[in-house]
Amino acid sequence: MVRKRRRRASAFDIVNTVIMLLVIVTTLYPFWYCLIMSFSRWDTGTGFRLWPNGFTLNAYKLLFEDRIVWRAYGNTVLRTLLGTSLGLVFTALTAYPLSKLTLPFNSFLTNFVLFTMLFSGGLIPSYLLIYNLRLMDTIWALVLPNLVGAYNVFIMRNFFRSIPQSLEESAMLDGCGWFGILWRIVVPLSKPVMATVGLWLAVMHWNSYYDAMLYIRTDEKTVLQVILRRIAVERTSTTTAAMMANISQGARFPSRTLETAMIVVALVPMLAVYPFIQKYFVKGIMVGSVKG
Amino acid sequence: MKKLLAGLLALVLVFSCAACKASTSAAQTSASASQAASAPAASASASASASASASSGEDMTIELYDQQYSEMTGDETILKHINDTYGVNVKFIGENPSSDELQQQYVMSITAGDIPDIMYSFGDTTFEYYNKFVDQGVLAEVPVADIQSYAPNYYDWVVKNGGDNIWKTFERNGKNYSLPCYWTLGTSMYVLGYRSDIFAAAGYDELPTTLDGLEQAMLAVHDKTGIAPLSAAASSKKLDGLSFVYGAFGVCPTIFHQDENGDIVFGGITEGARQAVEVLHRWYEEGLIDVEFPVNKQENVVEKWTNGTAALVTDCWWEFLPEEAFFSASYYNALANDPTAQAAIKTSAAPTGPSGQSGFQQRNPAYDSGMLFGKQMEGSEKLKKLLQIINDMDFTQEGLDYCNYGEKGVTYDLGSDGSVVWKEPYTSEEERAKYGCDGRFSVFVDAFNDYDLQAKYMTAPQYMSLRQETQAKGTGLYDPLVLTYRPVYNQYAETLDQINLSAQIDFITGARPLSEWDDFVAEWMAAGGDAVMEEAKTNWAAIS
Repeated sequence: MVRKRRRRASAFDIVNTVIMLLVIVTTLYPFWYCLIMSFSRWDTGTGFRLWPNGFTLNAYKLLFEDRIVWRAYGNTVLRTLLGTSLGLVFTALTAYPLSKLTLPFNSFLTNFVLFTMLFSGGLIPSYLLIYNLRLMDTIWALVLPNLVGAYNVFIMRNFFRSIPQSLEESAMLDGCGWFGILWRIVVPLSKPVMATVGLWLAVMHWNSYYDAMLYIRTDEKTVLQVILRRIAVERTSTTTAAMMANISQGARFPSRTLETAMIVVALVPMLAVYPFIQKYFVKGIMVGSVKG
Repeated sequence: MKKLLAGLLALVLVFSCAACKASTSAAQTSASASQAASAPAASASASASASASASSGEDMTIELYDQQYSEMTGDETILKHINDTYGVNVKFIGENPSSDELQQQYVMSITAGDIPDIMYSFGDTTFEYYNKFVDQGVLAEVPVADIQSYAPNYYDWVVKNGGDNIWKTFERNGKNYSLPCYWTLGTSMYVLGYRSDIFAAAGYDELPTTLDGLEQAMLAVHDKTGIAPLSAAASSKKLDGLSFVYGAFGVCPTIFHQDENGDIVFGGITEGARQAVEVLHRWYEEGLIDVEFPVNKQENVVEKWTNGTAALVTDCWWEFLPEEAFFSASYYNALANDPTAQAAIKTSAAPTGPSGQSGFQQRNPAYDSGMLFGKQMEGSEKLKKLLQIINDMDFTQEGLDYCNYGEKGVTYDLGSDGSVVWKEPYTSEEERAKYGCDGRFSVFVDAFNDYDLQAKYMTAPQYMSLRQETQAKGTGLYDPLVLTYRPVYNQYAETLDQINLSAQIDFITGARPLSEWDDFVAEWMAAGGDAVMEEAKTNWAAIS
């Protein structure tokens, strides 16, 4: 019987392991800190902690008693679902023709899309566009501008080019049109890139607050990140004007437990979804660079 | 079939582009008018109140923010009554956004040609935006005569807090464009709070009233317990936590203020500041000041207060009283698990210095350019109605009683001791919520707060005298130039504040020797301080 020789750990292995453990702790501890602070008592101070200071659900109760938090949660979920699904559809519709070298003016159209990656009109033209399209205070102001991102188009385009032509040719011989080829042949084979781009779109929509802050004026339609920013950032602002404006209007400064509870509430959905698409994400991370 | 489908899609694309262009042109030429016109059609209640003011034909929708927005339904009896009485359609659209949020929204809206009807205070402390908006013709004039006519109580409150010449501060080219928002708590907010249990253990039942006496008391605490009794949070960049030491020498560390001769000075570079820093450095060397004060945030100070490693702090007076006395009560609630220590919390006025001076660095009650209105509101019936609502609901006891308790004889009666006794069915919280008298409209237009009138709603009767006594301990100076136009100050403020704050901290901690004080003053002046002082003197001469 051949016995496996146990490899002795080298000095490099030990140092490497220690460094990686430190990196893991440094990365994971802020999440853990937020979680334990959110379950801690109201008067819990700052400082290094490993466990909650008196377990309580008061912060979560207070958050979920607030109608606006629920409404913002729903708006964020809706925005993310709409933005991701429509974003994938339109990105695919843009990337597929560009993946065909036989497309007339392919080079010009590719550079046209590339140009938008390098230059943008800026904030004011974007605002004017949304305002003039009468999209203010609607969910479409948050979804439509992000439907087709140049970077995502190129990632998808390169992946579509890696799909064998013979599959499309055989579908065409069977009478399938371009739309049919796209939705029945290409997209089903593109799960890795769809998952990758879908995750990027979902995270982008979930985390966005600036566009909601600009374009959404009523609290009924605002998103979770704006509420999170109000609780975790603005109400603890040390700028005099912000503090005084808030105090003068009767604001209460929430404790850190409420801030961290709000952060956990905003984080949980993304953390819950990620494990299910991780396998696609790992494969898809290099999709843009694979050819043929 | 495919060609037909492709052709149809192409036509849809062409027509939608053409339609967008047409609607874009229309929107650009009549942005605010179209928005005003669309408002009545957007809701049934808006059309009902539009008919109430049919004679003026004006849209009377007034959109307001309120801190209690999440509790509101829009169907409350109080809200309907106010709308019917004044012939308006007040709609609450959200909680008060922060100054940052408002500033960005307003600037972008105005850029797009969509001038908001009402612009809440958005932290325009330097009047930068106020002046730009006036120059661009964005703002509606709000004649002082109209304010005096339609909102006389509010007018009196502004003059009482700002002085007879206050309107000159907001006047541009002889016209007023603002409803000043005063935070009257600012002038007396800071007091000393101390843990008398810790001081008593060192032999001091009460805090000494002189600076030298306070130093002896802190030394006794330090000798007894080993702690640095005085903690502060310099991360606020204002050194408020140590300002009482500067106040003992008649100055404030980080703002402009009057000196004893009535001239304007920047406190941080004065001889009084040098003397204060000398004292603070000695205290630091003696271990009386928390060594982490340069990086502390308020929560760090509260934590040290809680675990007994800080016994003396400066903060807002309401933080040391029970929540029923006003609100917040951070330091009081922090000791909730130690009732003995909680009961031992006391407050004190600033100690007097060698020349008998004392005080804290307080805040100018008028902190920015106030509530502003879009040009389309100028001379409008809507603006006049809003002035009346502000006056009647925020600045009369009857209006505040109505917003807080409802209608006497219907929702409540007064008991023999003057307390509110709810009538059926308003003994139920649900019914009070439907009526709106559960505190959600505590201040109807919550940009304006007369805290004297609001005292009985915010302070439980048993704490009224405690509140008044504690508030009276908040003395000191504030920056009188806050409401003046200071472009030179705006240009150099960040650099000068950084130089001043770093130097004050370095001198206190000993990182920089006090022999370099004159070098620091010269550095501050050379970094733009001399130009800023010139501007300050000019502005002071204009308003004093």
